[in-house]
Parts: sequence; structure tokens; C-alpha cells
Amino acid sequence: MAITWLYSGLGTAFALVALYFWVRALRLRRLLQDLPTSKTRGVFIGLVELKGTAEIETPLTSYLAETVCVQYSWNVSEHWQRIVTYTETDKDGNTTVKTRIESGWISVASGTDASLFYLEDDTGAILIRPDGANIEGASVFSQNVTLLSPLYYGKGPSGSIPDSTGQRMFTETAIPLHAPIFIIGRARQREDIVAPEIAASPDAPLYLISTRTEEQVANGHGWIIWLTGFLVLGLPGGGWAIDRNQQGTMLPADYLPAGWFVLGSLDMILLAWLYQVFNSMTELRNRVRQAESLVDIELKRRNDLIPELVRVVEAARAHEADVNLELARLRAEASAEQLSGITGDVRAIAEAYPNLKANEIFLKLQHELADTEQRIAMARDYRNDTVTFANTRTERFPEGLIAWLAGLKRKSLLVTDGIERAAVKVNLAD
Amino acid sequence: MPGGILIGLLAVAGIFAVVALMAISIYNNLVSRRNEYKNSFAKVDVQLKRRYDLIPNLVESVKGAMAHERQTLDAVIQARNTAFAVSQKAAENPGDPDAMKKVGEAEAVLRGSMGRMFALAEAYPDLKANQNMLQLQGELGETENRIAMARQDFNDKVTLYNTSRETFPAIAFAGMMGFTTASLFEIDNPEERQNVRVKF
Repeated sequence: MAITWLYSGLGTAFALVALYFWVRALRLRRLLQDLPTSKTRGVFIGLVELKGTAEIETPLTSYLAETVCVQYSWNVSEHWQRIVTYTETDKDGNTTVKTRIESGWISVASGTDASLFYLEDDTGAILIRPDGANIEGASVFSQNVTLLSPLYYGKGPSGSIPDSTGQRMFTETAIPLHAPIFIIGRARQREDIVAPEIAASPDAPLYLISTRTEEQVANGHGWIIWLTGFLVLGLPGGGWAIDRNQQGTMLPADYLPAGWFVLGSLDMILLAWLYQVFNSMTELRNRVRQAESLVDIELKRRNDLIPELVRVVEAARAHEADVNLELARLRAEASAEQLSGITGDVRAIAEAYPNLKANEIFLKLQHELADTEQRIAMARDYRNDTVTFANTRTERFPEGLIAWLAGLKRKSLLVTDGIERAAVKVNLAD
Repeated sequence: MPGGILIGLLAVAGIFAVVALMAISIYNNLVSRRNEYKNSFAKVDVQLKRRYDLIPNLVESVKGAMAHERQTLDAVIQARNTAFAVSQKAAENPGDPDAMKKVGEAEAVLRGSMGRMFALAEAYPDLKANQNMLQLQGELGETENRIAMARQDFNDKVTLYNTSRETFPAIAFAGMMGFTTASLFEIDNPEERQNVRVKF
């Protein structure tokens, strides 16, 4: 009997597909682990991870559950069942007619709607454009109804599918208003105002808006890694075993060469793992550099902005003193004057003329100072978070052993000098 | 066996074709990434140019508002002084019709300048120069935000490019193709990293 390689080949092909998903899941889980969560006010242009609640001024109302939400997606499936008759010929040439029952669900209607919304956290809010995102909503509606239910035709389409059993499943997922959400996506500059927004981008490895927590999302990838890993290990050897089996009954010992296939699969996994670890570490090394540069950008902003603001305040103060001095003189002279006609008018000027408020300009400076320092602090936090993840990667086993290959080195965190740690004494005396 | 050799040659040619196609796609990808970061660099320049063009003009307008305020006030004071002097002179010689006429004229000038002053005060309850300065502060802040954001965008594009050229499979070709590492934004003068001391 000719040796067939059909199932071995198919098994290997499917194993390669599984390997692709294995590498992908590994990459996404690494990304989740290595990307620090940014605050909305600390969002910079690039790939960011955010946690907060979904907010919007005019929310949507979902179709089935009528939940107040920012996004929803619904589906109606109808059940069918039919009896199939078929003939079977056994090895003696006798044919028999047999029947079997087939059944299943077919989607008969679906819809989705999403609006621009804001992710809000304790520092502010950022605009989210959900178009093109992978959205994981929470289940807000799930009902299995029969023809008797008003829901059946009320919110489902009229008519029915062939062999319908008169059963429909109504399901809906949504991102409810105020729901906690987790987002990974790329920030870009808004067109209308000087602020970032999160939107779909071809450069993004993923754009995820999820009502699940970061941990749940990461665990989901963990399951994919295990599942696809086993498929890669088992499929080629399994295909080979099926091929052998078709040549007749084999003794258990005849299956031992399948072990070579498992070894081959292990090699594939090892190579793919090296590839993935090298690439993700290289990416992380570059993100550490990026994070360091982000701090520099904020320091440069401070250096360029604050002295100019101070100059404005100085000018405002000088101008105020100048004008107030004149006004005071006017007032004093006016009260000393005896000429009634002029006195009244001059006093009126002094009173009608409002007090100059350089105060506001001072306030604006204080506000800008605090905002600038906050931006620097956030950039430093982000830098330290990224460095911490990178350091963890260099110390983990076994990937830490090849960190040097990707040029990933340990870095120390930004810490303050002793004197900067002490509480600041406010001294308004001088 | 010629058949075997042929198959072998075809296999080698096939591998070469695949590698060549991969190299072309990597090359094209790196070229677009390199152009993207160069474009982002130009965007930073655009914002710097905007600052250079905008801020001096804003400062001039603030100066103008300040001067206008001073001048209006000065005019009132001068008119008042004239009116005061003229009326004192008239008081010394109450019968002189000429002196009384001068008092009337001086008061008219004073009222005119006061009218302008009132108009200024009414049109700008918080004084024009003040509003202008607040506006200038706001614009300074926004300008720096724009520049910071353009720099972030530049960094992002540089990082995408660098990561592309330093990861598999591009790392095998990037060096040969002449793609070199791009630099991120960095402060040249370390003093600029120091905190700015506000002092009046």
C-alpha cells in the first residue's frame, strides 16, 4: 500500500496556522504586560493604554435592552431543525436507509451603533473614536423566545427561515454609560483643539475597547497561547499517525516515530519564541527611549514657556502700578479741588475706571506652573513605569538570558536627590 | 537524475524569489516609515515657525494696548491740568470775558478726553491691556502645547521606524539597505532640563 502523507501535510499546515496565532497571542499579551497605563492628561502621541469610565453628553439607547450606552451591538438568531435521510452501504454491499436529525442557529438580523465618547479618569477625559476598534461590550440582553413572545416579531424580522422551529435568540452587548472600560490604541492629535484623541490607525498592533479588565484580557490571550501551543505540538504528529493508521492496524510501538514530529514542533515553537522575544524586547527598548524623550519634551516645554509667562506677569504688574499711580493722583487732586464743575467729572473717571486686575494674570501663571509640573510628573511616571517593565523583562527566566541580544539593558529609575524629598516650606517673607 | 536537479534548481529559485519579495516589502515599509518621521520633523518645524511668527505680533499688540491706555489717561490728566490752570486764572479776574471763554474751551477738551476714557472703560471692563495679556498667556501656553505634541508625534514616528528596522525580519536587511537609526528628540543644552525659578 502506498504511503500517504495527506494528513501529515494537513496537520503541519494547520500547525503553522496555529503557530501564527500562538506568536500573535504572545505578542499581544506581552504588549499588555509591558505597556503602562497612562492618565488621560498624560496621554502622548503614540500607543497608549487607558483605564476609566465611558462618558458622553447625549448617550445612545441600545436596541434590545434599551440600556443607556455609548456603543451597542445586537443579534437575532433563529433555530432550525430538519430530518435528513441518507443511504449507507456496508462492506457486504447491503444498502440501508437511515435518518438523522440536524439542527442549528442562523443569524437573521443584527445591528450595531457607536458614537464618539470620552474616557474619563481622575485627571480628565479624552475623546475616543470607536470606528475600527475591536469592541468587547458587556452582555446586556440574552433571551431565548418562542413565537408566542411579543419580542419574536416585535424586534425580530418578519417571516421565517426554512425548517424554523419558531425559536429565536436575542442577544446584545453594549458599553453602558459610566461603565469602566479598558482601552489600548494609538493617540493622535485632534483636528479641532490642541488635545489628543484615540482613533484607529494602521500602525496599531491592536485597537481594543473592552469592558473587561486588563487582567481578563491578558488571561484570554493566555488561554489562546496554551491552546495554540498544544495544537502546534500535536497536529503534525497526529496527522502522521492517521496516515499510518490508514495502512492498517499498527502496534502501539509503531507510533513511536511520531515523537520526531513532536520534536520538530518543539523546534518550531522555540524558533518562534526566540523571534517573538527578540522583537518584543527590541520594541520595549525603543519604547524606553521614547519615554525618556517624552520627559525631555516636557522639560523643554517648561524651559520655553515659564520665563515668557513670568515676563508677561512682570509687564502686567508694572503697567498696573503705573496706571494706578496716575489714577490715585487724579483722585487725590480731585478731592482737593474746589472747582465744582471739574471735580465731579474727575472723580467720576476715577470711580468708573475699574481697578486693574493683574491678579488674573498672576493666577493664570500659577495655574500654568502647576499644569506644567503635572505634565512633567506624568512623563516621568510613564518613563519609570516603562523602565520597570523593561527591567522585569531582563530579569525573568528564561527570556532574561537573551535580553542582551536585543540590547535591552537594566536602567535605574528617576529618583530625587535628598533635599527635594523634604517638605517644602512656604516662605512669603522675602 | 536530471529531474531531481531540475526540482532542486526550482526550489532554490523559489526560495530566492520569496526572500527577494520579502526584502522588497521590507525596503518599501522602511522607506515609508522614514518619510513619515521626516514629515513629522517638518511638522515640529511648522509649529516652531508658527511660534516665531505669532508671539512677537501678540507682544506688539499687548504693548499697543498698554500704550493706548497710558495715552488716554495722560490726555485726561493733561486736559484736567489745563482746565484747572485756566479756571484759576479766570478766578483772579472774573470780569474778563476772554478768560471765561478759555475756561469753556478747556472744559470742552477735558470732557472730550474723558469721553474717550469712559468709552475705553465701558468697552473693556477689565481694561484692554489686561485682556490682551491674558490672551497672550493663553496663546503662549497653547503654542508650547502644540510644539510638545508635534515633538511627541515625531518621537512616535521615529520609534516606529527604529523598531521596524531593528526587529526580525527587517534587521537582516536594513543595514545593507542603508537604513540607519534615527534619533529621538533630545535637549541639547542640559541646563534647559533644570527647573525654572520664578522670581519677581
